[in-house]
Amino acid sequence: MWCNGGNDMGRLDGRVAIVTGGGQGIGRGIARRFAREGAAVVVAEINPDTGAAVVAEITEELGGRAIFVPTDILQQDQVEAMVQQTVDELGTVHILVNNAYVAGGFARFEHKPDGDLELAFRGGPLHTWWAMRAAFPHMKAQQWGRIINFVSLNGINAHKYSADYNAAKEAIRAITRTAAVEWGRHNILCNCIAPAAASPAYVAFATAAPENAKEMLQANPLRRMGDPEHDIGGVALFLASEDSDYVTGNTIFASGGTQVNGVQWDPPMPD
Amino acid sequence: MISFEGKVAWVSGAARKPGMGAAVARILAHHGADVACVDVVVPEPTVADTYEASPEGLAAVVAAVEAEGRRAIGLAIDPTDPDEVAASVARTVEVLGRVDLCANLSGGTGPRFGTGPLLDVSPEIFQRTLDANLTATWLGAQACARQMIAQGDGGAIVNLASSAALTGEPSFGAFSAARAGVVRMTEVLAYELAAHNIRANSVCPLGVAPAAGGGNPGLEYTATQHKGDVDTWVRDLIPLGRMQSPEETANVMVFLLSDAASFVTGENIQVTGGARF
Repeated sequence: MWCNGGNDMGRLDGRVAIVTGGGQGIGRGIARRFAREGAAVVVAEINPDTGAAVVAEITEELGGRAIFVPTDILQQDQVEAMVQQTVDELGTVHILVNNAYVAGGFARFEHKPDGDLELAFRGGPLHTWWAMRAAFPHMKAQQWGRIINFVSLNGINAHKYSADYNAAKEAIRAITRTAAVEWGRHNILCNCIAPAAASPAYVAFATAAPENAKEMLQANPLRRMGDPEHDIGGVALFLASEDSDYVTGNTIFASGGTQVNGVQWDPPMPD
Repeated sequence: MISFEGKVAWVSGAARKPGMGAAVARILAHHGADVACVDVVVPEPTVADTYEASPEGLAAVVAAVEAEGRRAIGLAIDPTDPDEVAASVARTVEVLGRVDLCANLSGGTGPRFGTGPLLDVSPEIFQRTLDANLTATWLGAQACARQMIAQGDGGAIVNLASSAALTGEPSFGAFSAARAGVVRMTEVLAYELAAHNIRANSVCPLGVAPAAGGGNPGLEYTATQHKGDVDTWVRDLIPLGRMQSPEETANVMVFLLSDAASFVTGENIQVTGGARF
């Protein structure tokens, strides 16, 4: 706990953390934040260049410990192998951050192909489910685990033109809450983060719909998007640490207050 | 890494049972903050609720902050009196120099604070419950925020609400209403103060283990009402299978006051061990 730890200690000393999608954006920010606090970090990433680059940042720039595990989250065997390789190389897994996702593009509900919904579920709740179940026996054995799943204000506030993604992200919230209730007896805490971050996905949106992005920023109480490492990483660190050891089943909003009244998500979209 | 070096905190409810306020003061001090410890102080606090602290209790919190190498003052006030709240903030500035952090933990349940069916609660007691649990929170936040705005370099506010704010808790009607008010009010504070770089958040704890906090009559009443005894209630209701310590809610409040929560505002965090509301 904070009251017991010294300021010079890493708050994740001795912990092993997996961060999916760790090669860029929010995942990279969390991987760096965790490494700064002493965790050994598994950068699970499909892109070998960015995955290796983040590992190099952590080991060379930050003096931390990290390994790259190539992972395509759409493949169940690769997700399970990600956990197994973590255990083989680092001994166990304490913290699992399911940040990666794959989903289709924006389209009106009536035009969304069925394949988009299938992809969004495979790229969201299904790989989250696989990873959680693979990590479970290790967390159960040590009676300590922290699972942090990424959800979205798109789902919570029903943003337009991403019905597949919205449904998939809300499914992750249901999975998380259910696991929190079932796994509490093993001291495995499961929480969600709903971010509003300056991630590559947001930059792509803001580039495609600059006017809407400007309006959304003005509706954000703090008038900015979150920094992946400082703003989102801080919340992930809290949920990964012993400071949150009576917090489970929650969704924490790292969104500058946007969650209270929402924003007008209304990019241009032909009929 | 966390640091409140150079910051000053104003903490209400700092000395009363079950000890969450004292834990907040101590943890903030551990990480570098000077602390104004504010509470309702009477010679012999009633054991029927957790609204009051003893002079010795207040002195102990001040001593705990000083033991961390930080400066502290103890201030005995009526947190429902606007003038006394404002004076306590002024005194904090006079002695400790500024106010950067505001933790509102004042409040109470029990016979004096509306415990019992809404059909039977008197208007006087209903109003007193709102005053102690909602108005006092507003007054503390208002007085501290005014000081933070005058200083011009931001700040953070965290308000204690309750799991009773999240669903209607029988026999806690006035308290539930007041604490639900704290959650909504905190959202408004977040919007209104964001331009001043002041964040505002709330927490909803389920309640501290009576043994850990030296007694928690409100929680014992609830548990007995629902399940006959505290142990059965814990086993049936809380996925983590245990009650919390004062430090577990305090750690969440300190997180929300810290830079680690730099992009968290208007948020309400449930500290319930997974119990759903």
